[in-house]
Amino acid sequence: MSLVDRGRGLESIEWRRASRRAPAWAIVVLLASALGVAALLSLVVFDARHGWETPHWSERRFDSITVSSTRWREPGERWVVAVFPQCPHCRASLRDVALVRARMTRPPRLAALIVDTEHRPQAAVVAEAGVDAVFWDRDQVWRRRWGHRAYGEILCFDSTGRYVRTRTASEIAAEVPDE
Amino acid sequence: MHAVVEGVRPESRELPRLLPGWGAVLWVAAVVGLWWLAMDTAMGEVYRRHELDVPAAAVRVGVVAGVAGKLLGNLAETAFYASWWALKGPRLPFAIVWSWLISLSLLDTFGVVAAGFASDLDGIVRGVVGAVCNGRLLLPAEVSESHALAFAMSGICLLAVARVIATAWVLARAAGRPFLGSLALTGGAWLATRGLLVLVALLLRGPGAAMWGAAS
Repeated sequence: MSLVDRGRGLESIEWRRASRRAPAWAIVVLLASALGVAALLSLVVFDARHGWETPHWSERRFDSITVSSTRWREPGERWVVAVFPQCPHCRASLRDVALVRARMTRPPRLAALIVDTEHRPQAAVVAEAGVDAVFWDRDQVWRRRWGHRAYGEILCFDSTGRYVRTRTASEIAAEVPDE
Repeated sequence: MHAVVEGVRPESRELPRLLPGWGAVLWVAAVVGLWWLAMDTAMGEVYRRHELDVPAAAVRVGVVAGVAGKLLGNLAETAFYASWWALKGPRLPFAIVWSWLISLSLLDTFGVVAAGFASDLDGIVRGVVGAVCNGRLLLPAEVSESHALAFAMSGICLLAVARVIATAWVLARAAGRPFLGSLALTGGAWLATRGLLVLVALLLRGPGAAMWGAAS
């Protein structure tokens, strides 16, 4: 047996002896840490395998609160911002997107989708935002069918309602230069 | 060898107390107070930048929750390291190690404040602050603050490396063990927490391409 192997052997003995003498609290803390990590990994795997629907824009799935602009009905790309009325960040996101859209040469249609709201909202909750339409996600499609959770995110659909991607206001603002 | 098996470590006395008695309590209180100031400043900066109209009471609740979370996080970090070493033999002086780790957290606090003020900057200043204080600033502007990549990068910077090294030194002194082994532990824990943070961000965001800004 080489000296290195002997050293490793001694280290192993040292570890085993020390482990046997380790206080219960240390074992509990380390086990709790390992369990916490395992629980988080399980959640991630469960979430990935859940089989969420790919979003698809269809007005039949949502309640129309208001369609203030005829442009919404015209063919073209549609951006739908998930808005929780009590979330200031959502309203800021909506406002930022509306400002960016105003600078675009081919602006998309823009709607607010009111999510996680039990009672039918008033159009006034996003009145200042300058959107073409407001919809209410009464059946919680956004959260329970699509599995989305980030308020203020922008779901981009093509003119047929096919999901293209999800973006954030800052991503879009970075692509459209200021005047 | 004998000392390790018996769990007696005269070397643990090598980690000095930061301050004796009530001085240490006051010092910890001062550090927590600095956390409070830093979080209040950083949150105010975020609200100002996004022009968010958030009630003052909600901001206060957010700061209290942030400080409490940080305190618990520091206790959990110390408990993890103390447990790890206890399993290997050495018993760390918990309160002393905790007071050191809580003091080292000032590096993070400084980074949060500096990064908050540098968020609106461009060019080389932003790059330097990003490299030193918060790697998120090195990402392109189109990567939002809530992006998983931004979560991951926010803790990658020179200050974080300094904190990992300093933590390893504290633990090595407290455990009376070689520095490099301690560095492997703290470095591994740091990398693992980075990875877990990304997973948490992914879970919070839910499925969808926004995470990495790619089309699906």
